[in-house]
Amino acid sequence: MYRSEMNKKIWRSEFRLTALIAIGVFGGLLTACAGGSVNLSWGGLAVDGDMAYLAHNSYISAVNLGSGQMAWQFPEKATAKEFFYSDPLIDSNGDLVAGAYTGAIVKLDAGNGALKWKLEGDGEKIIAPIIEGPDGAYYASSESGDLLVIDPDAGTIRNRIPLGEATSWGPMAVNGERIYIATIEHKVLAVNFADGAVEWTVDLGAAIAGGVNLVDGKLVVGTFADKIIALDPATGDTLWETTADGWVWTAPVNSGATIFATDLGGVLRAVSLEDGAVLWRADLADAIQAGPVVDGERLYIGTTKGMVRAYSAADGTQVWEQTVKGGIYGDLRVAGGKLLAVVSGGDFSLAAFSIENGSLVWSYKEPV
Amino acid sequence: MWDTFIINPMINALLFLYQVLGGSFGLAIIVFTVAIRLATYPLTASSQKSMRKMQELQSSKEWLDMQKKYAKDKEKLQAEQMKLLQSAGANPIGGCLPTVIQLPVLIGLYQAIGNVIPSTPMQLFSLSQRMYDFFPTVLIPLQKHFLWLDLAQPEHLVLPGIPFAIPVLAGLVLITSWVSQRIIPVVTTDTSGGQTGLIMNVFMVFLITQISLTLASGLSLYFITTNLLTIVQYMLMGKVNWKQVYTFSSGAPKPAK
Repeated sequence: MYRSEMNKKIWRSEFRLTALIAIGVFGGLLTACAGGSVNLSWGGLAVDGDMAYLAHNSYISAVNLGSGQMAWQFPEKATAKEFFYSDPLIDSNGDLVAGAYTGAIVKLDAGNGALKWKLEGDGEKIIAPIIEGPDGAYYASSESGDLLVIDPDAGTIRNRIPLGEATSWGPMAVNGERIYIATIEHKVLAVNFADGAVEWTVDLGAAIAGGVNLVDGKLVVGTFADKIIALDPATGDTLWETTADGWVWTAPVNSGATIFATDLGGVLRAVSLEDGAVLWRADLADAIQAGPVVDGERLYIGTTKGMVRAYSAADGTQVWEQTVKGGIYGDLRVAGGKLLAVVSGGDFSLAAFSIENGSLVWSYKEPV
Repeated sequence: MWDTFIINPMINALLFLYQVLGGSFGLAIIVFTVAIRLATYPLTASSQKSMRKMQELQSSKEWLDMQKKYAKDKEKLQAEQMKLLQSAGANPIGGCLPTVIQLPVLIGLYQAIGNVIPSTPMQLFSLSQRMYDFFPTVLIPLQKHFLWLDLAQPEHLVLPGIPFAIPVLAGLVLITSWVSQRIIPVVTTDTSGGQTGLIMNVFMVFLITQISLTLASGLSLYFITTNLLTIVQYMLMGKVNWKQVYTFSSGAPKPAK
């Protein structure tokens, strides 16, 4: 009898403890999820001379293209609050400019990573790459819907061009007269450089995450409605559209009169710039978020499951395949005889592959 | 498994509600919360039934006599009380099990809200992999504003003339969590049980409030809705113990002298 009562008491006290632990674990699970993971962004990449500039998670790193060794890193000690999505800009003076997800913009000496100025911003998230206008000013599309015109010397906001509800994530395109912006809110806008007036706006009926590319007098975009669309840059009128097999996350790129587009359905397409006719397609098992890169006769893609492939740009014949741990979300680059890919969630952040056979030449990982 | 059977169906249910409710994600969360409460009602009802049975026993002559009789022998008192509970078919932890079962639902809902209203581009990619094919992509991006709230961000109301931001939603979560937990009649066989219950009440209220201060306000909307539903439910049943709301007493029966 006594033993039975003791057992009951012990059981009750264990239950109370279990309940408290359950609540604690529950709270821990929720708050742990809020703390963010190591991979905060898909990262951006720029190449200049013999250096690659990686803006990934909370760091900007300069990495030697030949050796994969880090030359410098900014900042020395980062916080998880500030992280980078977009490709850094190498401006006409060779300086490096990068916008952060917190809205901060930094200008660095590309030679040694020294900070030239920092614009703290007002929490207006910068996801799209910053561009340099013909007037020398930097143009940054922020999540607030304003196109920020930034003084390149002082690092101050010279002007704000209101674009309405316009969240831009992908690269903007520029010609002598206009800047073209594609938005998550389904629109493509043309802004006049001279007076900041929005010349035209078209609604394409679905989000455009990958920005816009200006190719031989045509604007090409990909949308979340599984469409590849060519627009007239003067009027915004649709010239042609082609259906993809999933969300088209990045703007198509071109090689001559052929454009190449990828989609989350795992398809790489070669499309005629003239009329949108599909010239060839390659089907993969994985979603492809990153845009392809063309280098001469070769075309390279990376998938969200870490697969990298090289194709013949002419007919889509596969040349080689390589797989790394993690996913490739940002666009690829070819420089110094290597294919560069930003890798998220893997053992390294930047990988350099041989363009000849896809073997891993070097890899780099920024500090956690 | 967790994603396929919990998170993804929740995400798509929220998307469906968002679509039929005219693109209001705030309304979608509220309606979804009501639906979750209805779905888990059998569990709640069985918990309440168990608690009612415990209450009836605690106010019975037999229980009170037992407290007097074994006032100086706590172990014997607890043993007799357990015997009585067992003979009446009451389970002292019957009220807790449904709460424990609801925890995975709550964690799933939190993750679903985080995915449906992405606060970063990485999360939008995650959503693209979880959306069922029949949803039109025109829904993206989801309208994440509801009243003054950005449902993907923690809420802080900035009013003209006030130099600091006010966490209105977290305040409402604090009040409604406290009220919804304290109006429930305390069911315990001894004083220490009541104190444990009080500690858990306070701990849970502050935990939920902390979550509301730091995480997406869409989750706070869920907390407030579910708390209000609990309060209304108990009010309709006429079983509200309002006195307990204003006090820090454990509510446990006092030992007989």
